[in-house]
Amino acid sequence: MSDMQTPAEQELAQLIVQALNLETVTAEEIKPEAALFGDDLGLDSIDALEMALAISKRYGFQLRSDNEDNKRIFASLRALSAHVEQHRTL
Amino acid sequence: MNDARRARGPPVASMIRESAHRMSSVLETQAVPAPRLPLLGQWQPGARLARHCGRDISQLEYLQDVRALARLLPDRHYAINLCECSYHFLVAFGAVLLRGQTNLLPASRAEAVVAEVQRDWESSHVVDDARVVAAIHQAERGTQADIPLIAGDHIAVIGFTSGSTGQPRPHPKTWAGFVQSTANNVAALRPLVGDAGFSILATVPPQHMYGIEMSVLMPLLAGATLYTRRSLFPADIAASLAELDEPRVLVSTPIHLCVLASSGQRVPATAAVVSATAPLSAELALRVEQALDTVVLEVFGSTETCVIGNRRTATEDSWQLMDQVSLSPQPDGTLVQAPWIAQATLLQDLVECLPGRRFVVRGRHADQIEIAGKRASLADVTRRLLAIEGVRDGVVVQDEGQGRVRRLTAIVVAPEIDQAAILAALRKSLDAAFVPRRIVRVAELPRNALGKLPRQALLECMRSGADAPGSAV
Repeated sequence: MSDMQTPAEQELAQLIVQALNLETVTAEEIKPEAALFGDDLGLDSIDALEMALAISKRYGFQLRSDNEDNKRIFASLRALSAHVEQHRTL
Repeated sequence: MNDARRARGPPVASMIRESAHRMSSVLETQAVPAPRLPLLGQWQPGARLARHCGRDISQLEYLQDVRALARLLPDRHYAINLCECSYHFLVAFGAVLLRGQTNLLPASRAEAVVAEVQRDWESSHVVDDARVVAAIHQAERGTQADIPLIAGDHIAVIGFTSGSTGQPRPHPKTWAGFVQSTANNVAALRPLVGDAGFSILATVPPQHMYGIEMSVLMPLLAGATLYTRRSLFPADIAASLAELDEPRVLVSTPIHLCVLASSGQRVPATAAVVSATAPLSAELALRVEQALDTVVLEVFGSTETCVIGNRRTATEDSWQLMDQVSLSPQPDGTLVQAPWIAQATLLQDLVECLPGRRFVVRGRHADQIEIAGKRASLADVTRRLLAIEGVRDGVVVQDEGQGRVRRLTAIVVAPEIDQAAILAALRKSLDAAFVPRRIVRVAELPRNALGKLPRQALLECMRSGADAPGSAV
C-alpha cells in the first residue's frame, strides 16, 4: 500500500488535526497506515468523540462505537477514510 | 476477620490497614458485630438487573454467574478488577465480595500503574473479562437461590488516586458505607425517576468511583437495570437508550454531553442525565436539558469521599450537600466528614458554606488536575517526566483552555533525546489523557532564585519555546 495520502485521506487528515488541535503533527505527516490510537498518534477516547462530532458535521453521518468493526474502522487514517467515503451523505 | 487487617504488606498497604482498623474499632466500641447486608438491596429473583448482549439478565441469573466465578477465584485477599465490559465488572465485583476479598481499582489501566498496584498488594490476583466469560459458561442454572450477605465492615473496594509523591494513594470503601452513600444517590434521583425501577446507561467505565456509584451500585442496591453495551458516540447513546425501558437515566460526563448536544442526534425520552468528572458549565447544562428534554443533575464528589452533593446546574449555582455529610473549610481545601468515610478527608476544592446545607466552590488547589473524569497530580506527571533517561529538567503544565479539554504541555530540557522517545516513555506510565499533547524544548527552565517556576514565566516559555518534533536547542 502507498504511503501517500489520497485526496480523501488528505481532507480527513486536515479535519482531524483541526478538530483535535493537534500540535505535534501536521495533516501531511499522518501516515495513512499508521495507528491513530496507541503509539503512533497517541489519540484517546476523548479524541475519538471529538473526531466523531467533526465527522458528523462535515460528512453528514453518525459514527457508532458499538460497531464490532470499530477497531478496524479507527485503526488508521486509511481505514477511517474508507469508512467515511462509504457512509458520507454530504 | 477482615482481610485487609490480616494481610502483610509494604508501607502503602499499611495505610489502608490502619484505616480499616479505625473503622472496625469504631464499630467495636458499639459492642455489636457489624451488620451483614445483602449483596442485592431489592431482592426479586426475576427482576431485571442488566441488559447485556441483547437480552435481559435477572437478579437470579446474575447471582448464579457470581457464584460460578467465586468458586474459581484463587485464595487471595485482593482482586484487581480490570473487566472492561460493565456486566463482567458487576459479576467480578460480586464474586470478589462473596469470597471475602476486596476489589482493587487502579487509577488507570496503564501497564505500569497496574504493575505498581500488584507490587504493593502482594496478596492480589487479576480478574479480567476472559476469566468472567469462562466462569459464566460453567454457571449452574436453577430456580433456588438465597441472597448472599456481606459484612458491613468488609472493605468492598479500594480505589486509588495518584498522590503528589507518585505513590498511589488507597481509599477504602466498606460495604455498609456503599449502602449508605447509594441510598443518598438514589434519593437524589427519585424526584426525577419516580418510586419504581429505572434504567441506566453509562458512558463512563465502572473502574472509577463515579462509575461504581452510578452504574454498579445502583443495579445492585436500588433495583435499577444497567445497559452494558459500550456507548460513546451520540448515535450509540441514542440506540442504547432506545433499548431500555423508561424511566431512563444517562450517566455521563461534560465531554460526552457536549458532543451529544452538539450532534443534533435525536434521543429517546430521558428522565435524568447525571454528570460528573469535570466541571459542567451552566450553558452546556441548559443546552443538554433543551436538546434532550431532560433534567441534568451534576454530582459533586471524589474518589476519596464518594458523591457528597448535587445541583441542577442549568438553574443552580450552589450545591445541595447530601444527608449526613459535613464540610469544614480549611485554608488549603475543605475537610469532608461522612459516615462512609473512615476519617475526615481534605479535598483540594475551596468551598464556601451557605444556609440550607448548600455550598459553592470557589477554586481548587492548582496541583490537582482533572481531564475527562480522571484526576491526577501535576507533580506526579512531572515526576514521571523527570524519571525518563535523557530528560535533564522539565515540568508539566495544564493549558489555558477556553471551553475545550485542557490538555497538558511538557516543557523539557533534553538535548539528547527526541520528542518521540519522551512521549513513548510517558505512554508506558500514564493514562493517555495525561500524556502531554505538546512538548516544548528549552535550553533551561525559567527557575527563579528559589528554584521555583513562576507560572507566568512558564507561559512565556511556552509561547517562545521551540516545539517542532525533535528540534534541538
